[in-house]
Amino acid sequence: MGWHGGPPPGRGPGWRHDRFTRREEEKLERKVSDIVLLRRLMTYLAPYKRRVIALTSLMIGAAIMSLVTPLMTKIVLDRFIPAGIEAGKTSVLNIWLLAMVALLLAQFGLSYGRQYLIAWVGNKTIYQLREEMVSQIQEMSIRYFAEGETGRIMSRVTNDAEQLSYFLGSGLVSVVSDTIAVVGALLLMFTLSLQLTLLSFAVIPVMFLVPFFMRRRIRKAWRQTRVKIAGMTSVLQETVSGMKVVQAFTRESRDMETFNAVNLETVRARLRATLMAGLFRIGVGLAQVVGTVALLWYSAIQIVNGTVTFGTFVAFQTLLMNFFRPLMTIANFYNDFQSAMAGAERVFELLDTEREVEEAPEGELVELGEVRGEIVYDHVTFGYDPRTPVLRDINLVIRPKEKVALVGPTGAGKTTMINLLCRFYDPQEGSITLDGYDLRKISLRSLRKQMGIVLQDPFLFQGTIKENIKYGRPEATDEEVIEAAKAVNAHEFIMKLPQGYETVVREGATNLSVGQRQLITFARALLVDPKILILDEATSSVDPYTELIIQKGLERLLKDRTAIIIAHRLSTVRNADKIVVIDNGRIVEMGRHEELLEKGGLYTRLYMRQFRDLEEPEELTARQRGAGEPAQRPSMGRRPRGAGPGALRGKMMELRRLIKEREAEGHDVREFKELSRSIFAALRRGDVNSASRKLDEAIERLRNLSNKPQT
Amino acid sequence: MGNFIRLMKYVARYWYLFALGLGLIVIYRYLMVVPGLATRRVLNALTPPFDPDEVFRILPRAALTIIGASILSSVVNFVQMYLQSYVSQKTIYNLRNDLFNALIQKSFSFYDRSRVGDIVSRVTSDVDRVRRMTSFWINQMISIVAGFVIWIGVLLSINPWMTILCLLPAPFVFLITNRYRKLSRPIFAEQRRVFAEMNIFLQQNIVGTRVVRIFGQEKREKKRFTGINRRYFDLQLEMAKIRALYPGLNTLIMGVVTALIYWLGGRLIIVTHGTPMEFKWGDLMIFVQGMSSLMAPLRFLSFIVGSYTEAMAAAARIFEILDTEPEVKDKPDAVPLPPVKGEVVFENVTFGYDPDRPVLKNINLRVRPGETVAILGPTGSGKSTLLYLIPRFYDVTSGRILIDGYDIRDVKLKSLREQIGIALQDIYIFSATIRENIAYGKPDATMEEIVAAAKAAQIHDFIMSLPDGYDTVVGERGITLSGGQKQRITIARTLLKDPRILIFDDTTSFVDTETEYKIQKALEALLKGRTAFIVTQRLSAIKNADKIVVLKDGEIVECGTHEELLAKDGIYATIYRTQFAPREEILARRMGGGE
Repeated sequence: MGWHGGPPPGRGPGWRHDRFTRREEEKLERKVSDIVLLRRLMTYLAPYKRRVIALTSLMIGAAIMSLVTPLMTKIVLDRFIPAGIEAGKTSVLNIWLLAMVALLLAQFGLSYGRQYLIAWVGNKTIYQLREEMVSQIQEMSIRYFAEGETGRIMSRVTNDAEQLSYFLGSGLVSVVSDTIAVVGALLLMFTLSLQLTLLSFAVIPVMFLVPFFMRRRIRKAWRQTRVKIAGMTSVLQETVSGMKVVQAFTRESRDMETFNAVNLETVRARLRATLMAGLFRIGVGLAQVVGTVALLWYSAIQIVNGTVTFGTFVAFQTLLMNFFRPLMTIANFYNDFQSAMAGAERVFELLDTEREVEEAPEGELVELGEVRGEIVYDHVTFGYDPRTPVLRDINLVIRPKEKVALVGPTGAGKTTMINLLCRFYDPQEGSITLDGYDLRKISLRSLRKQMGIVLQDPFLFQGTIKENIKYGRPEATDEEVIEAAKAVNAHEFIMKLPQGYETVVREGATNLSVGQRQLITFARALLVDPKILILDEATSSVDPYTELIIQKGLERLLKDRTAIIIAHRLSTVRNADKIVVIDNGRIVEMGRHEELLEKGGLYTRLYMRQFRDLEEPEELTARQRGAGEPAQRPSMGRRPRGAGPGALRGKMMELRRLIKEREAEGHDVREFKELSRSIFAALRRGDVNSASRKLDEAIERLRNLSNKPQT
Repeated sequence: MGNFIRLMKYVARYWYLFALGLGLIVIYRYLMVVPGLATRRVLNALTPPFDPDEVFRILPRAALTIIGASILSSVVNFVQMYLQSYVSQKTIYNLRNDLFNALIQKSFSFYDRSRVGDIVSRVTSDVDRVRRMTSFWINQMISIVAGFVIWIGVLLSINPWMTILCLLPAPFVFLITNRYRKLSRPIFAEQRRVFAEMNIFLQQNIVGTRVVRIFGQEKREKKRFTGINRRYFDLQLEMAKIRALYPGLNTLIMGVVTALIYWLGGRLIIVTHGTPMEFKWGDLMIFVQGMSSLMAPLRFLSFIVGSYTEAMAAAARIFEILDTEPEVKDKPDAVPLPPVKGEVVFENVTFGYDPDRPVLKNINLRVRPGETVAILGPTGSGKSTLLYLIPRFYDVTSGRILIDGYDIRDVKLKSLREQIGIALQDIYIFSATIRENIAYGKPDATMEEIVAAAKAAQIHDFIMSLPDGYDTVVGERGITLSGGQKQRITIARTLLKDPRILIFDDTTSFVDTETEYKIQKALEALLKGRTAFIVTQRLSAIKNADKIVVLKDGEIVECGTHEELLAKDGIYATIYRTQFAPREEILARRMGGGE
């Protein structure tokens, strides 16, 4: 399972790069129009209408303030100082100073309020979105939880939401105030001096636009650097992760060379970017100095002519800044907008995923109390895609406290049977009842209260062992926890751990073995004391030793309840009251272990396959093989012997024994002798599959032969 | 301080470039002031009542000075930046190489203790922090000091009282910035922690969604998430408050001081009007400019101080790696191990990762050349550990291991490991082509050799079914292989090395029954004449071994051939029966089926 999926919170350069490319890709895949997304986003801002209005007014206020400060400078230079010179006294300046300080304080207040509200609105919205997303994750159909999806779902809740937060908080509102600031500055400049404004627009584009465009090339150079760094990081990551292999194969010096090379590459890329950045700076510097000098020169002439005042000249320089800075933000807005919309689309896509089953309407809803645990599948047909049913016309009665094993090849529909019982899905046809109630009528909560589940991958939550055992019943006492652990044979090993029940399960539960984790999940299930217990491949990932230990815990766990067991290891299911063999969505065999072995059908073949020295019947092998894997022609031209083909040898011996027996009984066995030789030849060729099949066939026929009356 | 000096030694290799860079900074700082002074002259000339002729006499010269100084300063700045970058890049290049070289020699125990992410971040992020310090910190300090001295000199020559006014905000700006940094750091760290917690929550609830639902814990989980979500929101707001307050305060203070400069300057203009010591407009404006030039670096100063502490912490982590000696290394008088026959002897071997808790106790085992030894035992019984001692991935705590009579600690590591092929339990596939992955231990292998190894490992047909065959890229950047396929490539890789001693550590656990059987058959031929150690969960693979060793709690409890151990009726016999008894039962049933 993808325990380590998803981007780490510590962001390496490599991760950033990946995220970048992913964003780029997904940006192209946009399906929903911006307007639709924006409207929907707006509904999230609606509850905070007053704050949004306050924020907007603060921003407009700040934009206007940014125009007043240069004006104040102009006034002091053009009015107050000359007035002071004329009157010969300095006190006039005091009034100006007071006004200016008051203005600055107001500006400080505005900016504080604005920044606070930006953060509040943006983060509150995201808080809300995240709450909704998590509720959705808890209720959406489990089909979305395919392996490999974990990281993608997570990144919607974390990264995409984060990005939206900036957009909603500042991006959207600041466009309004920035526009006001730009227009205001422009108007003011025109009023102050038409000539200076016109000159500025002749010169300024050089000062601001040249760098604006040059920056792209610099960005490219930096991106190159990041790519190289990411490359180096991945070489490093790989070598460190595989260091044991590196050392086992004495590859140290070679890998050192590889690393040296990528290391040098990053240095080169970085220096190249530095070079570009340096040239860029020179370019910007030159453009700026030309602009500054032209403005100074022209202003000086205008001042001498008396058409421009000194104050206007000073104020103008500030105004130019106040004009261009927001202009740049507006220019970048489209990009921010685009990526925010892409994020919004992914967030809403998650929110719009199909939910699992609906609860029955109020009046029909049944709250289950204690159940007996009788389960009936009545003509159940179901497919994740209704057109391709995974289960077809399943009929199965499970009596209270019965232990039922579901057996069948991979993909036969075993897990689907359980998914339906837990009501992760509803069947398309037929119904499932528990104690006679249709599952669709039972409240989900009371239905699942009856069930305990143990999965193949023993899933533990972050927390102590005790917390994990108590997971389904947080109110359980310590005594009950210990009792449950003892019952499933987990107590002993838990006590051996340094902190006993308080031992914290590490990320990925690396401090516990698979078997130990599985025992904890047994205790967890036992503590809930469910009437129905589901074991989904609960022992497949465990070695035979651990299985021996688990077996006892398992027996205790299964006692006194209805149990449904899916197992690959058929040794686990031998003691079941009923074994249900499923193949291709249908129940093909049903009965006790011995009965099914008598039959010699699919169960027998599956059972035989457990033992590694037995070959799989061909039909099964074909299905089991992945599409990418072609049939393997055995390359060994040697006769299988020893442990591997032991069972085949056993079968051969049985065949010979039967032939002799039947011969002694007076049957004509020439055909079988011939067959025996061809099987032997097939074995020599290494064609074990067909040999095995022929053997089975021959043995079967010889046995039947003995039942027929002799002629 | 020790770490600082040690870092400086890395820089010192390029000391002349470094010193040149520092000299250029001072020149640059001076050139930066020149345009301001030229502008001042023009503005002073424009102070009413001005003389137009003088204005036009000064203007061209001032313009030329400004342009000239700006060009020169851009060039100086450019050269200086490049030098600075060059020195710091070379420094970290060397540092990274040293780190990698140290890493590659570290013993297994080091990798058992450390996390990959932590190691990688030391070589990337920590080195980058050091780079920032060597390139930024020192240069910036020089730059700030030079800037201060030059500006104060210029301003003092114009008016001392105004200069004092310009310096007035300095302590406030520094203190405010420092406070800002100190307050925001723990919040930032906490934010990251809560964010990580949110990630873990999500991961667990996504991966474990069935468990959550079946146990009906949605509400409790949701409540837990709301807690995290709320905390994150609160932290963001707390951060926003600080962010709005402190930089805002700085802007306020500097704004007020600017107003004061206009106020005091205005008074000076009024008072000195018409006197020979006249304070002119240009003088006023240069103080406005000077104040912001003096204060701007102070905003950085606090962060520079911070980056120093950060860089020293990073340096400490880096040197920790450089300084820990590899636990397993060649003795000074180690000899190369000559080509071996493959006799392996464990003599009273005791070993523990932590010497107080032995994992293997008093192991005695003699393996003759060409023998196949199967090792089995429960998880944690020390099977893998036993194998890892042979190529000296760890050194024994007591006792010794001999190969062909050589104590493995007396021979050169490289010569020892070259003669041992080991397929590890941690399957590791590198991001490269399949061919490179198989030829990993023998990069000069021919295609025929590679194919032969792949065939023996039963992976050839699969490889051929891929669009690019052996040139298909696998791993992170290529196609994803199943566990079984990876294991088979690992086996092929080991076989290709063609060693006298082979070790297979549970390398077929993901391989399906049929394929494993085929691999075993192929191995039978390949193992002929080689010493082999095999750990596996599957008894059928063990049965044929020359020697079966059963480990329990770090001790050999049973040792012998299949028949011997069955006769002994111990653990092995029990396990054998639990796995094979059912089959016998079937056969018995079949045989009796006729009656």
